[in-house]
Parts: sequence; C-alpha cells; structure tokens
Amino acid sequence: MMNQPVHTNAEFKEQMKARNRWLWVIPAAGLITFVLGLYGEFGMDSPLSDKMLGVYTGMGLGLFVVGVVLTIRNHRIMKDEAKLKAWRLKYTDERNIAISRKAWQIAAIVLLAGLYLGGLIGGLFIPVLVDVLLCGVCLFLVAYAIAWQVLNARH
Amino acid sequence: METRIQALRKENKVTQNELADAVDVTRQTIISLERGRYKASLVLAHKIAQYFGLAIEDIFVFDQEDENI
Repeated sequence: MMNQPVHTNAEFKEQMKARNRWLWVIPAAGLITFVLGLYGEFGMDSPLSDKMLGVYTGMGLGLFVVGVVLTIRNHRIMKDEAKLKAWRLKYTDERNIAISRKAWQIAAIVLLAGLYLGGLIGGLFIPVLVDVLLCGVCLFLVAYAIAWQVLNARH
Repeated sequence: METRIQALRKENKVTQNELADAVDVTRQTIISLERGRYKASLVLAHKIAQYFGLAIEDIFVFDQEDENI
C-alpha cells in the first residue's frame, strides 16, 4: 500500500502527510461530479436520463463524503502515537502485504471473468456491452503488460 | 514452514506481543509463523534470529522436500 518501506512512526507520519497532500483530489472530484449532477437535474434541460443524473449526484456525494472522512481519519491517526503505530504495523506488516496482494490477484481474476462473461452473455441482449466490457478486459491486460515491463526494468 | 519460535518464546518468557513489537510486525504474523501457516521473509527471519541471538536455521526448519532444495 505504501511506496517506501517505513520503520518508524515518524517515517510513517511523513508518508501519511504526503498522501494527504493528494487526498483533496477525491472530495474535489466528488464535489464537481455532484454539482454537475445537480446542475443537470435542476439547472438546465439536460439530455441525460434521470437515472444518469442520479448516478452523478450519488457517486459525487459518495466520493466527497469518503474523501472528507479519510482526511479527518488520517489527521486523527497522525495526532495519536498509539494509533499511528497500529496503522503503521497494519500497512507495513509483511504478512498483511502478502494477503493484500493475494486478495488483489483473486479480485482481478474475478473481475476479468466477470467482464468477459458479462460481455459475451450481456452482449446477446445489449450489444454495446460486448464493446464496453471486452474493452475493459483489454485495458486491464494492456495495463498489466505495461506495469510488468516498467517494474521489470526498475527492479 | 515449521519454526521454533513458540518454544524459544516460552524459554525466554517473551509474549507474542513483545516479539511482534520487537520485530515490527503484528501479533497475528507471529501467531501465523508459530502455526507454520506463513513463511517469513528473509528480513523478518533475520530480525527474529537476531532477537533470540541465534542463526536463522536454528529457528526456521527448512523441509528439503517442501522447499525443493
């Protein structure tokens, strides 16, 4: 989860601060999406369906709330040395990292299978699903191949 | 992988929490190591060996067949 190995609370705090500097992106993106959704719903004659406007406002509000909650939580953790240590261990413990990697692998396989089957079966009823979901599979595989090459060159 | 961590802990009257604290891992990792459900990395094996003042191979039992050695 973290980029550099950390061994002390001070190092972990620095990493958390660095992450917090970018955390505003989540609530900001959420707020923009939410406002656009509201504007489409009440401010103008939008060509979008009520469902899509609901998705925009719902997703936007969700992202905004998550971003704010994460920011507050991180600030609280950074102020409390005991909590900071518990979180440091949680994120740097090698067994937890191994479990997390394994969980990502399993989730990736389930995602790929879901996209593939969803595209093939869903495409029978809604043809555009084949394009969208199989593009998702291709995007995943291309991202994997690029990441593999980059990491292989670095390590 | 089989380890002698539990026996060494008891010999030295060290709790799982104390060992976990000393080698910078969670208590759950120590439990998993003791039960042989998790294989420690070289760094963690080294830290544990250093903590007990022993060599890695005195604590971690390598099964030649399992490890394909």
